[in-house]
Parts: sequence; structure tokens; C-alpha cells
Amino acid sequence: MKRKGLNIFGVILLVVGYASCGDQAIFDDMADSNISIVLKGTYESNNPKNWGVFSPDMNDDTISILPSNYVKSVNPSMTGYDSLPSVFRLDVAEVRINGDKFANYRKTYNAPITDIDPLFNGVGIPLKCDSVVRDKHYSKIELYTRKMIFDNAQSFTPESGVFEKEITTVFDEEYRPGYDINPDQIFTLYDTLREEKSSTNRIFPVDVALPGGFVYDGSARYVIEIRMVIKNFLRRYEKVYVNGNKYRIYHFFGLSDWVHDVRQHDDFIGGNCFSVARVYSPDLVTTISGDCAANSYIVAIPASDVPNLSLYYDFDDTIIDRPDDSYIPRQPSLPSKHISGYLEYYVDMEKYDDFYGDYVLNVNKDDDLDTTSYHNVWDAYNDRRKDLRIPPLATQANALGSYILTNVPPGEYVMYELANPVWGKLPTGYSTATVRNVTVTEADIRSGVTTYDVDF
Amino acid sequence: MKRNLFVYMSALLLLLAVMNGEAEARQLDPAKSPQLGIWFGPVAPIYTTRKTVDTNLGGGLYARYNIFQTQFKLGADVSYQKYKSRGVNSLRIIPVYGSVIYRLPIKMLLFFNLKAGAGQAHVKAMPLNKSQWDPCFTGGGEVGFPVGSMANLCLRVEYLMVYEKYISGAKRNGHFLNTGLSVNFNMDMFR
Repeated sequence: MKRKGLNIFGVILLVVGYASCGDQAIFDDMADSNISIVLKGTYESNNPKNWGVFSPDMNDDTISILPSNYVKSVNPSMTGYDSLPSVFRLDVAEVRINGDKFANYRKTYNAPITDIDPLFNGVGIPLKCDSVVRDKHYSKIELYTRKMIFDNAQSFTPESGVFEKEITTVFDEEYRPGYDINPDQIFTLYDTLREEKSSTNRIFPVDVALPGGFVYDGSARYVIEIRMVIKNFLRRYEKVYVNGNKYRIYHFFGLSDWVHDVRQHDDFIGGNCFSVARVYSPDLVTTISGDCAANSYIVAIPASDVPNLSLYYDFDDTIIDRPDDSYIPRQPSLPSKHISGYLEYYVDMEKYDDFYGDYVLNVNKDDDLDTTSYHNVWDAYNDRRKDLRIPPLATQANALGSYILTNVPPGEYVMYELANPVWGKLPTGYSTATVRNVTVTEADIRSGVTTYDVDF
Repeated sequence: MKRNLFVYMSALLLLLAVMNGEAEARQLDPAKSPQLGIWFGPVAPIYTTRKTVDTNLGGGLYARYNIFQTQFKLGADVSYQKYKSRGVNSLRIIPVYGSVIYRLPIKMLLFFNLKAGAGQAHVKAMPLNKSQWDPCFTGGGEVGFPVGSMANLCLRVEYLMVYEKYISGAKRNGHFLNTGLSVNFNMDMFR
């Protein structure tokens, strides 16, 4: 009787154990990611332009208290001031995709400012990640950067302009030369006046558009390429550092203010960490190559995006300008501890208080019909900046006049040959550029077509 | 229909009679009563699964019935286990399984049980965004002592394997260690 009972129990176990089982390898899917992330510090998707040399044009118009020439004359022994930083330090906390924490792995990276470092040579640095949710439509990447540090940053005494020290910052748990620009990149000036200031942060995370979106079906390997425009888009800023009674003037390098203009006395340089992302399957890509004008830029835009072309060439500052500075009320700071300094401060403070109430109301209006008001002008400016785009595929031709675009996924593209821009500017002139159309098909790639020839 | 009812009623009466017959024996050893219990404690992914999800708290219900006057019991378990991670990975497992429990023949206040079982686990996983039933196997032990004649307090440790290698191409199974405090009640209605 006992044995029979056990036999029946065994049969039940077998039936229960093997009936109606699934067909997905769940534990493999969680452990093996078919997705990888590559982070590049270049505008170009491959073969980027070499680093330019330092020029006085890189000194931003924020440098007004201690102009660069004055600093150099006061401190003749200070060498290396007029040169590019030698290293860029990046601390990435994590990467998310539409809020999903698929790459919660910190990465610190010291990138020498050279043309061979992976961050700046077009290859990119890998970031660790897990898989993403199947069949979900993703449209943006959020890059959480803890610190962005450039070295060659100096501290000066404000009265005399005497060099005090090279600025150091904690990076990767150690003090290292350089100034961390992230606290200054949280806001643009406009953000500081808006009601939603407390919920605004433009650097943690950096919102990276993913044009065309991404749906992961689990059938192939994918690479998510994130590009931050850093190489050749640096600028030197000035900032007043206040700590109790201690005042110092900082000169430091940051990202160029080509998206959100920064002017004298502005406290923030945010909104300039401009980025783009794209997704491709490394098993299903080809290259496009050919001849063109020497050193020109070749960019490829999905044909479906051509109606939005204006968003690509709006980078020229003459098209949208920042509204007049005279409208902006700034809280005065104490210029000196002398009695005249105090008097000046209190007069300025009264003027500021008087104007501030009306001004902030104006900036935060929702139903403002006055088209000349400050609110509307800046909202329009901010909205257009938000919509700016970088081409998903871009490269610079070599001096002999040939180019190559790599990792091109299937699709219809419109290609433009653009002039080589000056330092700190992006290529523009789409409307007058030479245009070529090319269609890259999956069938071609699968049949072994490795290169499309497109000459300009 | 009437005949069926008669058969069922007879079987029930017979069962009650048998249980009543055993009741006297159970007076001497309350742990041989039918038992209902709950458990609660840390559930931990181990081995290869440890790399994908993190430890959490889990808990479950179980019922046991002694196989006559032997050292063996038959048991049925269901539990709820939710594993999260720092990232997008998460797992929700509801194992439902039957088991055989062997009580070591040691005469002392503490009792020691060994357990082995099999059944199915309902697994829902992110980021795969799918749920399915997988076979599962379990083995473990528990140590406990009676709290009066009505209840027992136990510490249990149990290894749970969610078996997936039967799927073509699959390289991994799920491995978990469930530990917990449990209380079970001796459900002897004739005492």
C-alpha cells in the first residue's frame, strides 16, 4: 500500500514537472546582453577631424574681470595658459533608455586630448550594459554624468590677478588637476528664472535623442552609439568663486556655448552638452565611400528626415540669437568689503528687488499675447535649441579628397557635402550643398556588398 | 448520481475513521498530524543567477500530511519570490511543487527534516517581458521544535532550481537558496 502511494506520487510529480512548459531561455536572456554601448566624444560618427590648436578665439566673452592678456602680463612665469587642456575626465554614473535602468554601471575615464584616444578617434569607449525590454519602443537615452573635468584650469586673486594655483578636483576618488564643469552645467540662465527650476537638470541626465527610435526584438546583436560633441568644441570661461570671505577668479575650459550662449556674469553654462544616439546591428551594416572636396564634411541624413532639414543647420548663431541681456535681472554680489562696495551693493539690491517680482511673473507667463515680451522671445529660443539635431552619420574627408562612412545600416539616405567649418562651429550650408541620394538595402548587405561608392 | 454520492460519502467516512484511528498515536507525537504552515525569509539567487538579480525577501504557504505512521510526509508548497536588480533585470517566481519530507529518527526535542520535491514554477522575467511555466526541483532541510502541542517553529533552508536547459540552446538554469523562519500548525481535528 505504501509503495503504491509513492508510485502515484512519483507519476504526479512527473506530470506536473513537464506539462505546459515555456520555450524562452529566461536566465540566458538576463545574463547575456545582445546590446553594447559605445560612447564617442566627437561630432563625427567615424574618422573625426583632428584637434585644432589653441587660439585666443577660444576665450569666451565671459572673461571680463581678468582678461586673458592681463593675466598673462601679471603672471609672466605662468606657462601653458594659452594651450588646450591635456586631459578630459569623464565620470558616467549610468545610462538609461526611456527611464529603464539597463546600464547601471559606473565608468570613469581619463581621455588625453589627443587624436588617438578612443573617445576622440571615432572608435568610442564601451560602456557595460544589460539587455533592454523586448518589443518596447524606445526614443531617448539618458546619460547620467557625475563629473566632466578639463585640466589647465587656474585660480587667480581678484584684486591683483596673481596666479594662485592650478585647480584640482576629486575624480575617481583622487585629487587631480582640473575643474569639474558639471555643477555649472545644471542650468542655462533661463532655467534659473523659471518656476520649474527645482526640477530642471540639464546634465544629470543629459537627454540624448534617438532619432527613429529603437525596438529590441532579441533576434540580433545591437550597438547603441552615443556621441557627445566635445572634440573641437571647447571654450575657456571665467567664474567668480566665493567661499565665505574668500573670492577667487577661476579660468577653466568647458564645452563651447554654441547651443546656449553664455555671457558675462552668467552663473551657468548648461545646455551645451549636445548629443545624439543611433542604433545599428553590427552584423547588418555596410560602408559608403567615395571622392569629394578635400577636408570637407560628408553627412548622411535619413531621407524621411529631410523635411526637418532646418533643424540640422540652425546651429549658426546668426539665425537664433539670445535675447537682449539688458532684460535680465541679476542678483548683485558684494564687490568689495570697502564702504563704497557695501553702498553700491545695497543700491543694486534695491533695484533688483523692485524689478524682480514683475520680471519673474513675465518669464513664467503661460498666456502671454505680447509677442515682444521677454517670455515669448526666450521661450521660442529655448524651444528651437531643444529641437536641434546632429546628423546620425557624419565624417570628415581626408586631405586627398576621399571619405568613408562606416557602420551604415540599411535605409534611404540623403548625403550632403559641407564645407570644413572653423574651430568651434559645426558644418552648415545644407541648402547650397551638393546632394547625393543612396539606398542601402538589407538584401545587398546579406549578399556581400561591403561598400557603396558615392562620389561628389 | 446517487450512487456516486454514496461512494464519496463512504470514502470520506472511511478516511475520517482512519484518521481517527491514528489520532491516538498522534497523541504521543503531535508532529505526525497534518500540518499547515507559513514561512518568510531571505531568498537569494546563487551560482550563475547571482550575477543577474539580487537577494530579496520572500515567503510562502505549505501543507503536509503524514504517510500513516512512517517517518515520511507528503507536502505541497507554494511561494512568492520577487527578485530585483540594480538594473532592468527582475524576476518573479511562483514555485508550486509537491515534496516528500523525511523526518530523521532522532529522539530529542528538536526534530530534523530532509525534503526533496518537484513541480512547476511560474517565472516572469524582465527585460524579456515574458512569463512562462518551467519545471522546478527542490531539496533542503529544516530544524524545528514544538511550541506546545499546536504549533512548531522551524528554520528552513531550501535549494530551488528552475530547470530551463530542456529548451534548445539554453545554457543556464535558475538557482536559488530560500531560507526562512516558518511556523506550522498541527491540524488534528480529533484531539
